[in-house]
Amino acid sequence: MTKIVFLTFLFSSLLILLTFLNYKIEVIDSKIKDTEIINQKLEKELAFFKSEWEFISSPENISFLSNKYLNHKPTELIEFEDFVNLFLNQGRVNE
Amino acid sequence: MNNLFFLGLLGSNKNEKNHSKVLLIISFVIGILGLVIIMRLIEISFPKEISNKSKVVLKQTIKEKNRGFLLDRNNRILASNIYIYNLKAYPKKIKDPDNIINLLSNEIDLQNNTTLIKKLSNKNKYEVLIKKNITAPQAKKINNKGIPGIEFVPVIKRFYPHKEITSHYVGHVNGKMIGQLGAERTFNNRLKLGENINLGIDIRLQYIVRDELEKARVKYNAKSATAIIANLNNGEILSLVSLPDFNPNQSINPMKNSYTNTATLNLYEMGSTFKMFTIAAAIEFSKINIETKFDASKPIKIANYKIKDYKPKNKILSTKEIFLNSSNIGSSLIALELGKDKLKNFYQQLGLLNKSNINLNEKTKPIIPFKWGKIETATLSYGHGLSISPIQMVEAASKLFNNNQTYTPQIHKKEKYNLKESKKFLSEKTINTMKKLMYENTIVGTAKKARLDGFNIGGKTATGEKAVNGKYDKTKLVSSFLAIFPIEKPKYISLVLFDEPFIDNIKNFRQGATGGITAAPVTADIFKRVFPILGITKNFNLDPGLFVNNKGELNLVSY
Repeated sequence: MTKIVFLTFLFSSLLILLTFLNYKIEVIDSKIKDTEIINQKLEKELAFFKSEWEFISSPENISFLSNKYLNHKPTELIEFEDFVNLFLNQGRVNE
Repeated sequence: MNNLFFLGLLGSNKNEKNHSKVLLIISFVIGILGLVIIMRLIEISFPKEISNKSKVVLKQTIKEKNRGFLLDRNNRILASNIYIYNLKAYPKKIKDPDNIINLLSNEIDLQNNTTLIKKLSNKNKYEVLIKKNITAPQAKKINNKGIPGIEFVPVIKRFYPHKEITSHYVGHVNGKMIGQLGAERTFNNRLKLGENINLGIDIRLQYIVRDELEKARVKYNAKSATAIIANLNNGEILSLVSLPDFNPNQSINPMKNSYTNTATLNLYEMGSTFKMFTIAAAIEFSKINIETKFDASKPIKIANYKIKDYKPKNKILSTKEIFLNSSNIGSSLIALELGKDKLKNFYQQLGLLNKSNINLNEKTKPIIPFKWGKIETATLSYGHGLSISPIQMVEAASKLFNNNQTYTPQIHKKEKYNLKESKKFLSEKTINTMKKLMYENTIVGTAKKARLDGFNIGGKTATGEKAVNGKYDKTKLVSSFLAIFPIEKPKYISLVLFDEPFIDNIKNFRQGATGGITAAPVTADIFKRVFPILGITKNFNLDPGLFVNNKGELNLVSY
């Protein structure tokens, strides 16, 4: 009888422990799900901002803006002397 | 006494009964507890699996919903997903429709305010769609106003930040997010699983090529224009432009001309670029060399067909002169000397008689002659009688100059190129001879207008006449220029083609919108801007005199 009572007590304790662990797992699980939902939302926002940035910084827009505000000249084929002068801050040879 | 004993017996019987009842209750309780323990144990052992399963389902739904991005070779976004919003209103919850429409029209453009007010005033309607495709910032602004009875419904949409620039290369999806054209169609299965894919395209190059090509198309009033730049060694297509094009962010009409990818779907009788193949085959598979002489002093007649030159030299020409003067008579004589079987086999090896191997779904079979006799051998030697797409021309020329029969044009970025993949089919001598001829052609030949000081490129112009009602129409031309660069060690190949270009001031088609006058200078304009990006530098070491001995004497034609 004592053995039965002892085993019952042991199993009950184990059950309480497992129930507690199970509860913790469920809490963590729901937190993971919430985080995943937040993550998904952030990913969507990031995708939107990345796309927006890609559109703004597209070669077409950069070309348009630099033509309008920076008096941009199309890329010229650089020569070795020009390359050296870039370091010496002397500008382009043919300028 | 007896009575007492009897009573005692009765009492012990009652105790035993009580004991057995207690035992029964205890065993029942223990049984129940055991059952509960077992059930809880089973229950506890399951949730992990259940939660894992739910995670998998969640991940799957994430993957199913979010289509992968298409990126260029430098990880710049070509196609992405954005959330846009549809604005709905619930008439039953709206008291003052006029005020709501007024508030909304301050933030967004509404099509017809009166109709919307009418719809919102109708309380029998459950919901009314006010506007589609509202961006997130606009939606946020409206939401902050706290207007009652309206709701934003998020909808996922494919977004192409470079609009027309990448239209035919990247393609587009339909309303169900299924790829319909271009890379979206080719990689649909991988993209729908959420995989991001790097394409071979370089958006900087693509922009430049389209910019220059569009300017030229307007200038020459061409029906359509095509440009391709590809890596000659690994087949990556760095730029592919087909004009006219379309904006994949807007509603698409596949019936419009702009929807057709002219680089892979349009078939043309290319013309003189075929002379590269004819001469390469002749040098490789016969005794012909670049000094071998052919009598191009008069037109040749085969059956009822007369082959003549546009600017006849009326003299004996060497193979080299045939190439530089783009002589149809000479080319035909070379082909006839080579023989139809060898020429046909060589075209077969170059893939000119089959569909292109490019991994785009939009491609067509070439139109090959039904019968391949003497006359076909002659005309095919200069690109008449066989209709191919521009991408096939690039593919065949790449096979030739890369000396690799397994060369395949690819729209995705190749991480590593395995040299074992290549299959040589020509001798180095033939390749070098062809490179020299191509280079010489830009110094003294028909491609002079493609030349840039200090940069060594090789090229061949071509002008084909389009067949209308079974007859070649001299006013409807297909003008193109094929280039390989840098010629010292070719790394890239390009093709620029105009369909029916027109030059106002020149009425005579012979001096008109030929490949040398239209496509070659446009190629030079493109090169000026793309060479710095491709890292191609000037090289004055290569002396043109090494290749060109009689440059002052060559009298060149525009074909």
